[in-house]
Amino acid sequence: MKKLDKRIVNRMNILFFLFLLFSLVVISKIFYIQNTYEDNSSVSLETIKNIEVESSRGNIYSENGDLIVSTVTKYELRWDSKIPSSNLYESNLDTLSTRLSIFFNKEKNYFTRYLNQARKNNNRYLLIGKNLSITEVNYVKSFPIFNQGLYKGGLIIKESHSRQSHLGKVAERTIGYEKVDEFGNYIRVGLEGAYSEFLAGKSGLRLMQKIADGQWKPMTSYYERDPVQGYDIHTTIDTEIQDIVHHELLHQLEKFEADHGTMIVMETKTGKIKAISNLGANQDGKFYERLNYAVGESHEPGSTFKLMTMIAALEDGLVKPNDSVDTGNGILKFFNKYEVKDSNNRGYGKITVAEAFEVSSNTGMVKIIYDNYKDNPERIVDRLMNMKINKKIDLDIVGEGEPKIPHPQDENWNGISLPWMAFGYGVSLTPLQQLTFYNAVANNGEMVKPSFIKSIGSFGEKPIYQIDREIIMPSISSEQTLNYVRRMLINVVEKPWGTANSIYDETLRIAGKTGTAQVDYTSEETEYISSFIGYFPAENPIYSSIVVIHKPNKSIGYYGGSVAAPVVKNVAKKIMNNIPIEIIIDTNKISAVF
Amino acid sequence: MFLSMLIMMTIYSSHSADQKVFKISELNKEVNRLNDISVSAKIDLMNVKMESKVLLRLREQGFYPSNSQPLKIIIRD
Repeated sequence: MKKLDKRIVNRMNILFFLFLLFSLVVISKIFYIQNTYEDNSSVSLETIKNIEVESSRGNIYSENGDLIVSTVTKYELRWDSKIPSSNLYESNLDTLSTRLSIFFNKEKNYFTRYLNQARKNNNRYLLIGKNLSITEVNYVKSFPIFNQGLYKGGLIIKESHSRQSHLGKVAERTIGYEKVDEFGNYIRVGLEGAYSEFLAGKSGLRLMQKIADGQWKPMTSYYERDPVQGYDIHTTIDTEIQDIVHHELLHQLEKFEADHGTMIVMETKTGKIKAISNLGANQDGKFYERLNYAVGESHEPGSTFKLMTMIAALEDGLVKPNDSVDTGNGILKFFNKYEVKDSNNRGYGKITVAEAFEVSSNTGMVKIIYDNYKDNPERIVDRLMNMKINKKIDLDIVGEGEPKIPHPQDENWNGISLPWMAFGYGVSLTPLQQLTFYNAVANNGEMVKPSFIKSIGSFGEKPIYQIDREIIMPSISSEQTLNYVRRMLINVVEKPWGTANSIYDETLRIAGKTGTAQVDYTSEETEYISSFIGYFPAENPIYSSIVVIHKPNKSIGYYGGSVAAPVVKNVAKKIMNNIPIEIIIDTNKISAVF
Repeated sequence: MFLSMLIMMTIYSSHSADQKVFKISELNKEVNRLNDISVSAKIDLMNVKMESKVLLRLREQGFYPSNSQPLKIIIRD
């Protein structure tokens, strides 16, 4: 018995000694960590901290309620080829390859080889697809093997968030983006850039405690600083009109092998931009939204500027539409050196002032302007400036081109400045600036500011910013002058001699002016800018529109009437053919006859 | 005994709070997933109803855009 007791005591002593040793090790380790250990690792031992809670960025909507830009979750699918059992893999490989080949539009054999190779090489992270939407992921997840999940099928799903325009390449420059370059500078383009401070919201702070790797739990029921969600931007863009504009412009640019082009459709009464498209060719001749030509590219307008000079002459009472002007043989010479030529190379003889505008006679317009203003060129320039043609529109989108109207007091004003101005040379305007002026003519003289934004606010709350329309000028000219020029603009399309008669359509009246401006006219290789600015329906305008096509292939065509005007006609027809004409029949006024 | 009961309860409530955080995180993921599905469906709808897409599909069947505005007859008594 005693022997047994002694054995137990010895064992207890050993156990006690081991426990003592263990506790000594623990205590010395604690002592070491507390006093001498230096943490060189990058692992954070911090378990409580204020964590930034990101705010979600607002969405951008179209006027017809479509979501144009939002932050979306995109998925990447990978496959761990070692996970599926041989039985599962062999029996389903054929079906899986077939389904993948249909989904990704590739050969079935490609996928069979691709998967077999991965399995042979023990690839545990084979790329199946990236940038997929949730519906696409759910579809791929239903394929054999993948439908067994991660642990049996080996399908790995990774998600990432990114800002995405749901119109794709359509209106890409106008919708824009915001990004930070390598030096930390913000690059802000289009609406996304212009309204970034509203879209961004403000991040919040919350005190959190670490409970697992990458998992933090809030320590309080409140935020140290509340995150504020970004506001939504409701634009004036109509996605259906935008789609029509994009495809019609693209078709014409491809047909005429042009360098680049732009088109805008604006609501006449409000100035709301319903659609804006900017397409430029890359080296392979494919067209993309490269630069916002409509807003940024100030260029010599050519004949479309004749409307501005014609209004000035009519408003100053210097000519009447039925006055006569002699275009002679279509050539005018200044200083025996500089020639003004009519596009038909032979002139139109004696015609009326209105006809000079309608046939777009350069010599006719030069005679009207030069003969009446040569002694006092300030008068026409002041008249043009009174119509705010020399002022920027002051858009929120950055990069608006500078309008240029030469003044007799300018250093570079010379003897041909006035006559050249008469038919749109020596001046410079952006497409949007020109359209703003034409739109004022369509809108009974009232010049409204083009707008891209309808309201800014949060869902279900009163908007913080809302705008119906902003007036730049209540009236650009007298009613009589407007009536005169509106008639001329209709005649440009409807009269057989009009430069845009080719787009005349009995079912839809369009009014407008063509432009065929020369570029690089000092060099041997003259190129052209073909344009058309107009509004429709001519009698009661709902929309105004501009098309500018730069450097079309001259051998195919370059006149504004044949290159640019058809685009406006096609777009106008498609827009208007979606709007029904209402016929009201009052049954009380109908008497039956038997 | 009372103290151990208290400690047990504290540990239980602490674990239960942690579980709730995990559950909230799961539910948030589910909300985001459902939101993604809804947005994705809306975008698909927006794209398929575009005139260019409709034209492309209907052209094969011999349909073309109308050349004139439709008439809407409203009858009033």
